[in-house]
Amino acid sequence: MNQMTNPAYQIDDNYLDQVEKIAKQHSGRAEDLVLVLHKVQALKNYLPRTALNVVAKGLNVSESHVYGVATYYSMLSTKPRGRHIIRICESAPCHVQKARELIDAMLEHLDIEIGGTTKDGRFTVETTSCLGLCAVAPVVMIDDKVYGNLDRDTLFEVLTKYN
Amino acid sequence: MSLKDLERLKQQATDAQKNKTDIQIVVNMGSCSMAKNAGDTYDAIADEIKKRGLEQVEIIKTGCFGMCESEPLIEIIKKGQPKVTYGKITPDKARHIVASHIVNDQVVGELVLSVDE
Amino acid sequence: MEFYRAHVLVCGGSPCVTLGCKAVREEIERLVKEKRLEREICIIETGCLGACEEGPIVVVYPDGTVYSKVNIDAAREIVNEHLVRGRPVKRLQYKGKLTSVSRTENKSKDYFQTQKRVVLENVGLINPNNIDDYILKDGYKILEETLDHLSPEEVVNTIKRSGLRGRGGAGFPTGTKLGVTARTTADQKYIVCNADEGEPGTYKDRIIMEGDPHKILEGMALCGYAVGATKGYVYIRGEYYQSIATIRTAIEQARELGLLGTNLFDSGFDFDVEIKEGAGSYVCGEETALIQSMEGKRGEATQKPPYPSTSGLWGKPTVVINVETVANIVPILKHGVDWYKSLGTPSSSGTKIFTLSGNVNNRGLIEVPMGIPLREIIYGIGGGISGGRSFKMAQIGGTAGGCLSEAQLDTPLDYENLQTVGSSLGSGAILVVDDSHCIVDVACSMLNFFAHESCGQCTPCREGTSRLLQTFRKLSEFTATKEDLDLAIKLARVMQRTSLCASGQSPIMPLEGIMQNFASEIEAHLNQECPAGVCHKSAHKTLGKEAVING
Repeated sequence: MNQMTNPAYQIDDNYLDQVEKIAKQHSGRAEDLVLVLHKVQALKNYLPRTALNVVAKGLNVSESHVYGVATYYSMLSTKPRGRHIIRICESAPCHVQKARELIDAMLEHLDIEIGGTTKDGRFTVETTSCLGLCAVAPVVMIDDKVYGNLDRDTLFEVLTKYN
Repeated sequence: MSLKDLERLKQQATDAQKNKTDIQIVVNMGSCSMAKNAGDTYDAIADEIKKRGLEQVEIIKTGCFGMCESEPLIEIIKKGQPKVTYGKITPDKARHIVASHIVNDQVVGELVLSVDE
Repeated sequence: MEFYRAHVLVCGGSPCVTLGCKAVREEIERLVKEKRLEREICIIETGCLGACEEGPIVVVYPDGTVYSKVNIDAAREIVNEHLVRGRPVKRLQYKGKLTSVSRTENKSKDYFQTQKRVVLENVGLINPNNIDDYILKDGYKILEETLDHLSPEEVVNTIKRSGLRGRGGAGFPTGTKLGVTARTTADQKYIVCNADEGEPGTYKDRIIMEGDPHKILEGMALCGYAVGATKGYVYIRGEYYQSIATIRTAIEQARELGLLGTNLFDSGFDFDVEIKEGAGSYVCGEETALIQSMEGKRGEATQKPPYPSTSGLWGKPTVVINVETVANIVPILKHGVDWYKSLGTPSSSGTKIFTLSGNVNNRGLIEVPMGIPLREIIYGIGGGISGGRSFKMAQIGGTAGGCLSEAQLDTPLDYENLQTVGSSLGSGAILVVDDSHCIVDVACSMLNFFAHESCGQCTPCREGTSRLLQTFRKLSEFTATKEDLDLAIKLARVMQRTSLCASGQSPIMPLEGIMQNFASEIEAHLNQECPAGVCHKSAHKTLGKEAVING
């Protein structure tokens, strides 16, 4: 499905109302910006520009500030993403447990590059700093779940659980 | 909260400890455990306990104590018996342990990581 | 590099020298040579292994058999029976407990025997989601007693005297930090627990949060009392979903019982804790960046001074304290300064949690007294190198830590001794790399991390990390020159001096160790050769793309 025609990426009034509601709960509390962006992102798995504007108004901060924060943190995205986020770790502890081969195999399997989204809109693959699961490396995080001691087969099997 | 309240709470917790069921299954549920499917292992144990109607068995969730390599870990504590720790448990192995160790008192030797007197 | 099927440790501490262990070692060496086993068996003289009255002590790995009171005849028997025929000599085996060595039969028992669990005393034993379990272990009692008997100054002094130093990486004395904030007058002060754990190979904070959350909350309240802060925050990185959930439950339960909130234990002291979630940024682990992030800004480091202790969150005096450090507060106040100082070494008191990762048999986490040699952790608790390979490199303290070679394996792990070998204790991560890996390839992985995580604020770090990665990638593709490498090291030194935070300052740490300790392997790459057979001309497909996207 083309990203632009995917209903998940459509911005409508209903969505913007929801965003405004979230922002209102933190009205005037500029320090809650990161939390607000987390909550807004949970709606569509990314942060559309129009939503950032609504947040800026709600928290009474400048749009540039909100945009700056939204683009700073790796868990926040201003680009449309897939339904599930795969976070991979390629830090040294995972690296010495053959993480790179696993990542290459996965990217080939999903036919995407790091940072990309699969054609069916199912997955977006991102990198993360160490997930602190080095004892069971190599590790992959999908949404809020972690999977360790992976090899090609077990990872591909895990991927089938998500649609 | 006062010191008295705290002591009362401790007493309550101590009493609860004494009245604890005869058999406890402790399942490590830290992130590294979860990364190795401890969630399914826990569900399998809970399901097996329920299916068999083993009301005297309590399942306790705890954090990871550091032997991440051997996760998921479970410990079986039976009154009057040494604590047995099993490592690298899958849902199937967990069901087997419930049947063998809990029900039939047969320790599953090949899965044992340690026995604490 | 040679692969040894067995390592023989002969102790050489001062008590044992008088007991003739030098002669024992020489005899074993002579026999091993005589039987032409010197390529299979590695003989090592170690520091004191404890149990001195039973010396000389000989330990044979990988099985970890301990022999005591070994004389020349016994040494001969051990070589002939154990090393040649593979049959441990039961008669000569040590019966007692040797704290530094593990046997293999009872994995988890030995695993605990070697350790001294202070911070982790409850982890894995209590249900973290049930406050009753913590109260049963005398939880919150120290807070009550302290509020009742001790003045804030006395708490600060106790922590000062204990010698506790920050466990997050920098190793700053905690008591001094508390003292500065306590002395600063302000209408509001804050305690911020830094749980933005992101240093590769580190997961101690996660384990504490998921296993014993109330110890953190109680420790924070004690710090609050010591400095006069009524509000605490736990800043947890966004990816640690389970830690966030566990701490959240703990806060709710403590509030419900009145263990957090107003007028704790009728003392008039108020203290409450809130969670702040991160959103994915390595740099936020640095205290000033963390504070920026808490204020809802980009998590970029700021110039120091002013230090957070005097001007931190919203310009107020703020104690930023690591999870492991704060978890030491309750044990110190509970058992006293003398007890605490008896653990560890004179300059580094207490215990340290180390997280083992990489190519060892038992990957996991351990808490041991400061000053334990690296070798004992890797070959004792760690169970040696996995897959029958041999040791190549260990990196201590995370990706920002130094890279040690085999020759430095006997370094005691504490603040001072690690400094002398160009490393630091850092966060306590120990990454072990075996000889199947190429040092240049591992270096590329480390540098890729720095390039990925640079926040982009300081030019030397933003541009420098990418250039360093580029140079080492060239090296792995056999196109780098000696001049390229010299320039890279020079660049890393400039970054060390000109970056605001540790992220840009530290790439020099691993690089220096690699260049010194693995010079011949680097040299080989300049001559189009990779001794480990890992590098080739088209390497780093993934890493290349990665750096382009994030760079």
